[in-house]
Amino acid sequence: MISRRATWAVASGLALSLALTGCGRSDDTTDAEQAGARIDDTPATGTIEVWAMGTEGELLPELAKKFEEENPDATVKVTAVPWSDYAKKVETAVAAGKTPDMTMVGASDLPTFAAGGGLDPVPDGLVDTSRFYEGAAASTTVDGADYAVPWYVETRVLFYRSDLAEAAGLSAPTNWTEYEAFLAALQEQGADYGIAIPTGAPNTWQTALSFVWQAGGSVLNEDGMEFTLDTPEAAEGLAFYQDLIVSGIAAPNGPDGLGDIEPLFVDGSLGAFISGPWEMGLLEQAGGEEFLNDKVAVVPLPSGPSSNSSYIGGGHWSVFKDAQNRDGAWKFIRWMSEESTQQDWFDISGDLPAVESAWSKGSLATDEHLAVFQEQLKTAQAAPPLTTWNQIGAMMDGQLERVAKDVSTPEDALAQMQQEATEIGTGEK
Amino acid sequence: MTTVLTPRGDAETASPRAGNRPLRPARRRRTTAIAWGFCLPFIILFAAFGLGPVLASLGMSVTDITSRDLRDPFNVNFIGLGNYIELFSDPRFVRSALNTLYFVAVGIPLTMVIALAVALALDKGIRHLRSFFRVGYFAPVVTSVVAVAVVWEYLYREDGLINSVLGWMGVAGPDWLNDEVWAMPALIVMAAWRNFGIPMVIFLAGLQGIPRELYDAANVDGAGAAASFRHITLPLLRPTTLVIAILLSVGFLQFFEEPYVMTNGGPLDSTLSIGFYAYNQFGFGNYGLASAASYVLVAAIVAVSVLQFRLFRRKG
Repeated sequence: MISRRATWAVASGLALSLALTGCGRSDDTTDAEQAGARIDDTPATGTIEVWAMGTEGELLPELAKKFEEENPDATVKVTAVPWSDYAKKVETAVAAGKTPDMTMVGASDLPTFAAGGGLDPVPDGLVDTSRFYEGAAASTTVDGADYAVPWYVETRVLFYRSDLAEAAGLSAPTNWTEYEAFLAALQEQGADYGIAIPTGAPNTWQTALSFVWQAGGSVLNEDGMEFTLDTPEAAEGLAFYQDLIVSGIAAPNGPDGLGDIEPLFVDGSLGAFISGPWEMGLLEQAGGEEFLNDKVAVVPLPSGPSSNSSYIGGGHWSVFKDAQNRDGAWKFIRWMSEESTQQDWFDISGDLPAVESAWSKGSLATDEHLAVFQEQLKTAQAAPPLTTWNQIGAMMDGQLERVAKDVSTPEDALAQMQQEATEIGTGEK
Repeated sequence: MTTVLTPRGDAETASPRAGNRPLRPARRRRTTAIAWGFCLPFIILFAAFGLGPVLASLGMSVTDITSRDLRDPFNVNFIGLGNYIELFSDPRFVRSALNTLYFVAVGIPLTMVIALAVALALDKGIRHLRSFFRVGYFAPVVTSVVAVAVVWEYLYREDGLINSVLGWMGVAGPDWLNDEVWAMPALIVMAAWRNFGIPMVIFLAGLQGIPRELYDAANVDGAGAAASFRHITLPLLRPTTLVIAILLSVGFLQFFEEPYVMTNGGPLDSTLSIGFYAYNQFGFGNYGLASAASYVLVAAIVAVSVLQFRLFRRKG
């Protein structure tokens, strides 16, 4: 009986799959998708349903209130979604055709969502993309069309214990040669490790790629069609990364989650680390305000042979094709990219403005820590806007773990990355 | 089931054969209809939420569906066993399959031995505070794996409790979860600890079902504790053991939570399981490949269960 039932199940499964063959893939065009109708300048109306993630989701209603004051006929309804499962939520909503009007999107997830076909291309003339940081604007373009408008940005800089550096009589390193000596000196001043860098945990590529960029390497060639991972420049970058770990300056098992390194940094067993703007709050929580002011220094990443490029991430806004209130949503997004709104949002949340000119006022212009981020943003690069990037990034994490553990040489790992990335492809069909 | 489908004449000729006083066909049909009526809610729910997804994913496993096809799920190509071929030519999948096998082959016997030992102790050895111990041994089963993982991560740290204890004995313990060789054994021990509660309860029930007279008789014949255990307890626990072996192998083959919360499949893929591999592929949007990986897991579960039925089948 069991086997008969099993046969039946398999048979109907095959029947179903045969039925599927009847409807094969239609020809995919590689042309960029055409944007929809332009958005006019009249005030927004109706209810705008918004999904926002994490802290942004909690704080957005405060900003939205101001929009509602300026557009009395519009109501903004914010739903806070946790970062951890928002990708699945968005994909499910797109598949079911039941989406909100707009959503926040993490910069490196955008290509995947755009490829799913659920996002409305940015209408022509909505925003002037040259006002945004180049890295942020670049990460909104997928297959030749823009699918999102940058909202806030984040980039990674070097945090170090200024008291340890002072004791060693050193100032901040500006290039790779000074870098290693500087970190080793912090170690001599009593830190167990000079620096903590990820060694294979998810998103290790964000840190490792910055070493590759600093050495002059890149993930893709100029036209973005071919991978260029197995170059001597990239190998030089990874060799520097590997050397930090193998020489014992960096911990062999780097941090793998938010909140792992702050206690070590506070108690002096860690001399430095590379992280983003959120770290200010975390360090204040872990060590108190006095610690943050007296013992923490923040500087741009030291330059390699080519540049001091860091990784740029952040949050974008996208509108769904199935939006009920498409015009209202785009108007809200246009309003949020205005200079004054960007400054207001910084005051509310501390998120760094994606619009370059918004940095001209208030603490954005005067705070010395923020100036470091501003400096770093100028050269920061985004993840390649590939629909397959999630998979390629995870593959790279696996190879980088081999480099960090000294199982692979940088050259072998890069050759393997190049081969696997080419097999996975850029997502173009 | 057949009654509904057979024409009236057949039913009438068939019923006298039943020996009992036959129901009249019309009434019999009504009874059948009512019975189906009672089953209907379950059948509908099962078809919609059980069978449907199972068949849909079987269908997906023979197509090239990815997250690009979200809005047009039928706009995909049939690629036959292409996904399965791709799976077995991916060294990471082969690695994950071997890891899963390792976990199952070591984890299940270990869990069963612990469960049986604790059940024996609770059945015979421990006289006082018996329910306290029962609750204590069962507690890991009802604790959330995330909470458990946090505690075990501390235990397994290089300067954690386990290594401190080993240090007193002069053994330098490894950095368990970051060591390619020791990460898997560490997860197996944790899984055994987390999962032995239910087998223990089943074993306990099995032990209490063995008639005391058998032990008395063996005692009179001069059999020691070891001989009674080997010749009475073990053979009479055979059906219980089969149930436990199948329950455990279904659970252990789906090995996912431990690496997900503790090691993320690392270090160097040494704790990557088939379930975790499938989860990752779903995350990358490769729905076809992920479904195929899940079906490999289903096939493995069926194969292992059949094997166990053969092994533990009552002799004679």
